[in-house]
Amino acid sequence: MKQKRSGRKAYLYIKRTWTLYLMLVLPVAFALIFRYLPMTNISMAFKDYNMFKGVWASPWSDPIFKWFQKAFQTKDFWFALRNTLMLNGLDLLFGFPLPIILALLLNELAFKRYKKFTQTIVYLPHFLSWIIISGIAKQLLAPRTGVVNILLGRIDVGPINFLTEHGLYVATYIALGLWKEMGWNTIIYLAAITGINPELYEAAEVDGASRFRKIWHITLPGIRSTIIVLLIMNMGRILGSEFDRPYAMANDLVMKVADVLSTYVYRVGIRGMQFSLTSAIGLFQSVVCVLFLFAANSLAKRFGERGIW
Amino acid sequence: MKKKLLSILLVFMLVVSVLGACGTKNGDDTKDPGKEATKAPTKAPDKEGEDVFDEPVDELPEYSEITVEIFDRGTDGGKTDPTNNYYTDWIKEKVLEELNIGVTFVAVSRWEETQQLNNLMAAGTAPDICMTYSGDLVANYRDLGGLVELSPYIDSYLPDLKEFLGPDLALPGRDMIQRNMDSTTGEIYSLPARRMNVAQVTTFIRKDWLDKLGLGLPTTTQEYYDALVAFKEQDPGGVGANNVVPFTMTSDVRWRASTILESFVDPNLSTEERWVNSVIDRQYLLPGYKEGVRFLNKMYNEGLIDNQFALYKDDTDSDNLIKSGVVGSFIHNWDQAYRDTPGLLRDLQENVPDAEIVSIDPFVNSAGQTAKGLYDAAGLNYFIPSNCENVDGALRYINWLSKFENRYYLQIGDEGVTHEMVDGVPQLIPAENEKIMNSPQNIDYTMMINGLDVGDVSKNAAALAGSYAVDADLIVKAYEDAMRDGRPAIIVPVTLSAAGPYTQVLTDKGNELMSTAVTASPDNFDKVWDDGIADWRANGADEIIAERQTKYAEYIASSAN
Repeated sequence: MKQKRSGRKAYLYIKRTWTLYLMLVLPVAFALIFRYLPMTNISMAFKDYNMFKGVWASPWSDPIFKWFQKAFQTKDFWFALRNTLMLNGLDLLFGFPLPIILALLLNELAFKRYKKFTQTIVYLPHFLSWIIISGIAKQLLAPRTGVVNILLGRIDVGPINFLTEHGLYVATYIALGLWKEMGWNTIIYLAAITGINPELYEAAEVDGASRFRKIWHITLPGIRSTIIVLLIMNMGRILGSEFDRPYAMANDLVMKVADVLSTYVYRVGIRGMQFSLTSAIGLFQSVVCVLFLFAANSLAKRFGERGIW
Repeated sequence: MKKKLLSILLVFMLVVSVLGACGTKNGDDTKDPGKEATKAPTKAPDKEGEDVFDEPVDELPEYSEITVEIFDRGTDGGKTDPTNNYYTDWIKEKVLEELNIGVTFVAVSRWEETQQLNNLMAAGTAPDICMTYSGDLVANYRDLGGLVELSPYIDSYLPDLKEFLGPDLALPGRDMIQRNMDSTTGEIYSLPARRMNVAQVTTFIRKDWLDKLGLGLPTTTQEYYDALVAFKEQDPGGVGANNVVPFTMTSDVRWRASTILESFVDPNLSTEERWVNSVIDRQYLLPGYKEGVRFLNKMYNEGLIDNQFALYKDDTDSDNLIKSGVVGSFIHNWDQAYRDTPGLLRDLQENVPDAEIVSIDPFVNSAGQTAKGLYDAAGLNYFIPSNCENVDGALRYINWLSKFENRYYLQIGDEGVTHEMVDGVPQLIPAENEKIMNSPQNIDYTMMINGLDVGDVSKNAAALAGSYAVDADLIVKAYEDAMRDGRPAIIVPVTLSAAGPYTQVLTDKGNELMSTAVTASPDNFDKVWDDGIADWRANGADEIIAERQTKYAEYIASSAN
C-alpha cells in the first residue's frame, strides 16, 4: 500500500515537472555531445593513428599499450614528469598560502578606499598573458640589457642569469607565477571572509580579543571550508600543466628543468606528428590528476570537512 | 496548451538538429579511406590533354573551383591581405578567363605552416594545392597515404612546368620535375620549385668600424677574431664599452654561425660520409665540427658573442641590436643585410648615418678554401592532397602558373610601380600602394620559382643585383662571397622513410646541444658536447644514420649495374 502511494507520488511529481526535465535535455545533450563524445577519441592512445584515416579507421596498436610503453621508456618523458611535479609542487607550496595571508591582511585594512585600490592593483597582473609577462621578464632580467642587471651592475653585483641558470630559472618561474596570480586568488577568500557573521567579531571584541586572536579564532576558521575546497582543486592540478607559461619562459639553456609534460607533448607529439603518443601521455596525466583529486577529497572528509562531493 | 506544445516541439527540433550535426561528424570520421586514395581527375590523363592548353578559348572545360595554399607571413608595414589583394585578383581573373577555374586562396601562417597544414590535412580540408619547405613533412604524408600520385600526369598536364624546371643538374639524366620521384616505383608525390640562385650564407661586418680602427677586411679566421677583439676593446662606434656586441646570433646557433662552423669541418670527407652523417641537415657528427663549436665557446667566454643569444628565439632581438648600431658582425642569408624586410642596413643607417655593412669571406678551412653550404637547386615542395576533388583543375592551374608570361608578371609587377626597366633589365623598386607585394617577387604565389627569372640567363644576374634598394656592388660582393668555394647540396635519389617522429626532437635537442656547449665553461666543454652528442644519437640520429647507410649502399650498387 505504502509502495503504491509512493509510486503515485512519483507519478504526480513527474506529471507536474516533466517539462522542466525536458528542458534539461538540451544542456545534458550538450554535455554528452561536446564533452563526452569527443572523449571517445581517447582511443587514439591505443591506436596507430593515421591522420588521413581518422581515429576510428586507424588500426589498434600492437601491443595495446605500445604508446604508453614508448613514453615511459623515454628519458625526456621522465624529465618532463619530474619538472611538472617540481614546478607545480613549488607553485602549490608558495602559491597556495600567500593569497590567504594577503586576503587576511587586506581584510584588516581600516581605510576602505586604500583596500579597494590595493586589491585592484594586485589582481591586475592576472589579466596579462604569459607571452607578455615573459617578454617583460626578458626586458627586465636579461643579463646584459636587462634593467635589473644594469642596476645591479652599478653596485658591482652580477650579472645574474635569472633566466638561463637552472636554479635561478626555477625561482624566477615561481616568483612570476606568484606575482601574476596572487592577487586574483585572494578574491574568493575575501568573498568568504565577508560571509562571516560580524556578531562573532563584536563578541570577541567585548571579550577583549586582540586583532591577531580574532584572525586566528574567527576569520581563519570561517574560511576553512573554502581553503579546503581550493586545496582539493589545486591538488587535482598537480600533474596537469599550463602550457603558455613554461613554453613562453623556457629557453635552450634551461630545458633540463623547464620542459614540463605539456610542452613535451607539444614538441614531441604535436609538432613531431606522434598524435597517439600525445594522447597516451595526456591520458596518463588526466588519470593521475583524477587520482590526486579523489585522494585529496577523501583526506578532507577524514578530517571532518565537506569535500567537494 | 498550444503554446506548451509549440515549445515542446521547438525543444525536440533543437535536440534533433544537434544530434543530427553530430551524426554527420561521425560519418566523416568513418569515411572509407580507400575511396580517397582512388580519387582521380575527372578526365583520364591522355595526350589530348595538351590540346586544351593550346586552344583554351574554344574548348574551355566546364567551370570548376580549386583552393590554393598561400603563406601568411604576417609582415607589418602596410602589407596587404595575402588571400585578397591586387595580385590575387589578377590571378583569379586570368585563370577564370583562360582555364575557366575559380581560384580561392587559403592562408597558412608561414611560421606555423607545419602545424596548420597538419590540422588541415587531418580534417580533410587541406587546399587543393599545398606547399611546404619541409621534405620530411611530405614524406610523412606520403607514407600515410595522403597525397595524389602525380607521375601519370607529368607529360600530359604539366608540359610548361617540366620545361621550366629543366634538367636536374645534381642528377644527370633526370629532369628536375622528377626530383622527388621514388627511384624504384617511379611514383611522384610532390613537385619541386626551382631556385634561380643557390647562394645561401655569408658573413657581414661593420666596415665603418674596421675603417676607424685602421683595419682591412678580415681574410682569415685569426684576422676576423682580432677584429672582434678590437671592436670589444676599442668600441669604434662609441656606443659604450658595455654595450658593444662584437658578434650577434640567436638560439639557432647552427645557422647563425654556419660559416665559422663549416670552416672547421674536415674538407676531405667523402660524399658518402658527409651525406650519411648529415642527419636532418645537421652536421654535428662530421669530423671537425666540434672544434668549430669550441671556437664559438672561446669567443663566448671572452665576451665576443652576445651573452643573451640563448634567449633570442627568433631574429627579432638580434635584428634590433644590429639596427641600433651596437653589433660588429653577424652571419645570415647572403643578402640579409640588404633585404627590404627586415631592412637591417636601412634602419641602421637611420640611427648611424655613416654605418656600412659589407660581406666578408674570412673562414679558411684546412684545404685553404672558404667552404660554405649552397642551396639545392630544388627548393619548396608543392603537392596535391588526396582529399582534393579537382586534381584536374589543380594540375592545370600549376601548369598555367609555370608559363613565363604569368610568373614573370607576378614576379616583377607593373613598370613604374614595382619595377623600372634599366638597360632592358627590370629593377625592382618598393611599391607603396595596393600593388605592394606581400612577399618579395610574389614568391608565395609563384610556387615553382624562387628568385627572379627574366627569361635570359645573362640578364638574370643583372636583374638580381638591381633588385635591392642598395648599391649593386654590395650585392655582387655578397653574392660572390656566398658562392666562393660553395659546397653544392648532395643529392642521393633514394626514398628515405620519414624522419617525422624524430625530426622535431632532434631539432630541439640540437639547439639545446649548441646553446649549452657554446655557453659551457671551457674546462667543461668536452663533457657537455660529448654528453649532448650521445643524447642526440640515442634519440633517433643513430637510427636515421643506419637507414641512410643502407640506402646509400643500395644506391651505389644499383647504379653500378
